[in-house]
Amino acid sequence: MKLTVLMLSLCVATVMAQAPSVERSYAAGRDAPIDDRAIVTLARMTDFLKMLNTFRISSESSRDEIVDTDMKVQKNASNVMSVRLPDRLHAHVRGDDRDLEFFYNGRTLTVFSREKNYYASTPAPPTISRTLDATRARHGIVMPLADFIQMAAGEDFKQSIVGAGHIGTSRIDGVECDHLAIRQADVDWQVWIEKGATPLPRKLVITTKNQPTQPQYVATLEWDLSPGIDDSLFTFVPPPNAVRIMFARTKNRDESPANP
Amino acid sequence: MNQRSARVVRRIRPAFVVAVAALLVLGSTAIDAQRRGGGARAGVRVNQNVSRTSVRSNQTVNRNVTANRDIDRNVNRDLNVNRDIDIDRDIDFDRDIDIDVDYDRWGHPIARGVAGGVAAGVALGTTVALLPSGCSTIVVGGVAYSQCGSGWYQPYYSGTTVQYVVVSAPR
Repeated sequence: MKLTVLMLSLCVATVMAQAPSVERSYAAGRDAPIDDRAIVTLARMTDFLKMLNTFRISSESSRDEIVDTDMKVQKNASNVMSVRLPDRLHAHVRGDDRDLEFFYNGRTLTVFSREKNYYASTPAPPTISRTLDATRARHGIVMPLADFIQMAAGEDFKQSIVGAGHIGTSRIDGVECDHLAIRQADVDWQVWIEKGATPLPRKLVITTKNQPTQPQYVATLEWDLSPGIDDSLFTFVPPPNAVRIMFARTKNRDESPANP
Repeated sequence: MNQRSARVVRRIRPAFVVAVAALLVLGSTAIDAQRRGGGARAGVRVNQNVSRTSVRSNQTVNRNVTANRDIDRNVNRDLNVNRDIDIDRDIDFDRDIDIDVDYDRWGHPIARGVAGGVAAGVALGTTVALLPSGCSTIVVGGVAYSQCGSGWYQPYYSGTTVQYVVVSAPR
């Protein structure tokens, strides 16, 4: 009996002594708030996106809106983003209550509502990246999947991450993906990244944490890495009876008071 | 204003909203609100909460825009809605839906303009999401207006949503 206990203790001691040296990096990664494997997978995606020049993303998205104080309803949209870095963008957003096109040709950004036949144009900065930021800051417009376009343009997303885990393998539209869960101060997000030679994001979920109902945004993505895009797509030519109106300007400020 | 009181206010006729706002806030603020809005919109704010669609924070965006000096372009080209009504206060960067209009219980915009416009007692600078029926689009001096009887509105993009601000008749 004593011998058995002794042997067991020895075994345990041996395992405890050996385990850290064998498993240290893996165990530390799995338990750490920021798992190395998640960061490596994320970096594979961003590195791949940075190599892209011309691409088209077709996505289906849904976004929670809050009605009746605390009830979530989903608004859906189909989006097609045609991008040629660094300075061409066309987006077509067809949602529940809107049919909008965005045109950017390196000089001018135009928003056109086909149903209302109104458009607004404004001089824009010389790159997509700066234009996406300026449009958001000046006019409160966030383009669909702007984050991935910013990644392709070289923006670093790592600074804001306070937690990151590799959840496992998942299939999106039949494609095997790495499933990552990422934490930031104000949002949690999940991304499903295709395994293999083309580590593209296939699905995105954003959970807004600073609202009590924690509404979510979900988008699934299809990528075309060699789209045929005519340059005329990026320049808006007003239809004969279209009416030009202006953008309202938002104030430049650092806080976001409407998201308490 | 919390959501519950916002809902209550929403059901009250606009004329009373100013009075309620005046009761709720300190004197100077109330006077300011009345002067600024002069009518239905002062002091009213209804949040229509939506999820964010970008993981990047406003701070990051603003930092980039400021560093690139991209924020102050086009000041003169954009509609200065702020001059007439403090619409800036209510536009959230993260939303492509404007929240400076009232919504009904199920999220439909309910602020509709009236045909008489200013003559019918609607304050200049009031923004509405919908026009009354029978309006026509008229371009004066390169600016598009909607004329609804004797009332004039100027359509503009608030984010990606077209809204209409009450203006005086163009000359």
